[in-house]
Amino acid sequence: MYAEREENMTQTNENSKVKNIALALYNKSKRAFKYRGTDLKKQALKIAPPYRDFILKIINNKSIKITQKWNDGYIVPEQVHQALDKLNRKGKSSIFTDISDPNVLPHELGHAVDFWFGFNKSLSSNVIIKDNKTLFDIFNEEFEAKQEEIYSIVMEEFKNIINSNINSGAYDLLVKEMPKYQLLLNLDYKNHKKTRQILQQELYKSGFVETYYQMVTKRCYSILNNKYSPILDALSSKHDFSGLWLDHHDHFYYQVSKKRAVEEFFANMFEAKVMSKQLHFDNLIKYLPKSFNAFEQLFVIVYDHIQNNKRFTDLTLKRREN
Amino acid sequence: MNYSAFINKEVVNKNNQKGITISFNEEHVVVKYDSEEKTYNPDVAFKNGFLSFINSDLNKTFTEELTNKEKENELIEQQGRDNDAIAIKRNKVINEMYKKLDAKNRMMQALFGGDFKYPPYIEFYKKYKNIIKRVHWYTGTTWYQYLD
Repeated sequence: MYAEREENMTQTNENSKVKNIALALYNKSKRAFKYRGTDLKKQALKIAPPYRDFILKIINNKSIKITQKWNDGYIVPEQVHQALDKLNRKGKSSIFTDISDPNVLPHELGHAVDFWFGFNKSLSSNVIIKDNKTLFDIFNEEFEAKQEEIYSIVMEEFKNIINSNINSGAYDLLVKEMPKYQLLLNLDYKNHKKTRQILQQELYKSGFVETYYQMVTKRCYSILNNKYSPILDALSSKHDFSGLWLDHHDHFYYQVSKKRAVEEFFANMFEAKVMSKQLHFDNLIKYLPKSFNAFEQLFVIVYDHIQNNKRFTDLTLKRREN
Repeated sequence: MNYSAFINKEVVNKNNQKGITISFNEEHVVVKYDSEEKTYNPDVAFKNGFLSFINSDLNKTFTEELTNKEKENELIEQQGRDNDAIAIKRNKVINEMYKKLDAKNRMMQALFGGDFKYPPYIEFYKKYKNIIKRVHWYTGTTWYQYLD
């Protein structure tokens, strides 16, 4: 009887946490989330129970604004100030997220945590974790050494999935005709009507159209996205995945800054951690163990400081090179 | 049916009036009684039993002919009904196939641009243009699509 009562108590406790998260999100943008009660609850439920308090604390932070944006998710700095040697000045940011997709907000919150002290002072590339190295250093070192090997493993798996689901030459055909398809997507309707028609006919005759349609409708990419999402996103900084429906950012997105790759890695890992996506962890431990450990350490630091209302001034930072 | 075999034969009606058939065809039979001539529909008159040939063999052959004719008509009607059912079934199948192809075409257009014309879709549409029904999702009106 007591065990039952205890169980009921814990259940009601969890329910109240879920309600609190949904309410906190609603309070962030009342107009946008007014009729999205079910989505907010779904979002709150998707966050793993051990991290609900932590996430609630992040959402309740006044330096973060959250609003609705359809089919998209990004974070924008509200105020960019000069980077200081100590982490004592919080950066303000606005998160735009599609609340109907529960994977987007945790990812953006990961960015928000990374940019806790402004976009110039991301924790992933400034906080020293061990041996005078930040997550940026550790990740870059390991990823540079292993990325070709990981890429070949992942692509081999993708090739096997596509060829077994469609036909034996499907993957090669997709890779061969992909530049033409990309060109077609980049041509506008008005000025390049004839070129578009020619390209479409060529793609149809080569069999690309049917193969690509089957790849999309049979969702050949979803297994890889479930297994390797953070790795795929990291790989897209070196290889172009556009058109293959694998989780990625555009190639030029990573060319803006060297730190983008590690920032995305942190956000992806944060999302996986907070939502308890064990499958991602398994593959990361297998392929990028050092980076995974470094992230774990950084996450513990962040969790400890935010959850216990500690100041970040005790952390050692990487010295900036002038 | 050879109607000439039934001309100039003695008939009797329900009122026991005797007469002779003057003309006989598919639609009319003209009977001359003592004082007057009357026209009947042979199918109705002989079937009801209002008229009958005095010669019983002739009567028998005529009724047989009539039943044969009825059976033939029924067969033709049944065939027509079957053909209609086949046509309706065929139209239904074609429309279902069209729905699937239309969905595929839309998906293709989402992938390759709104100006992309999926050749199997166009061929199918041109072939079964008169059978395909496109119903507007809101107004319920039908229309035909014009393709190049």
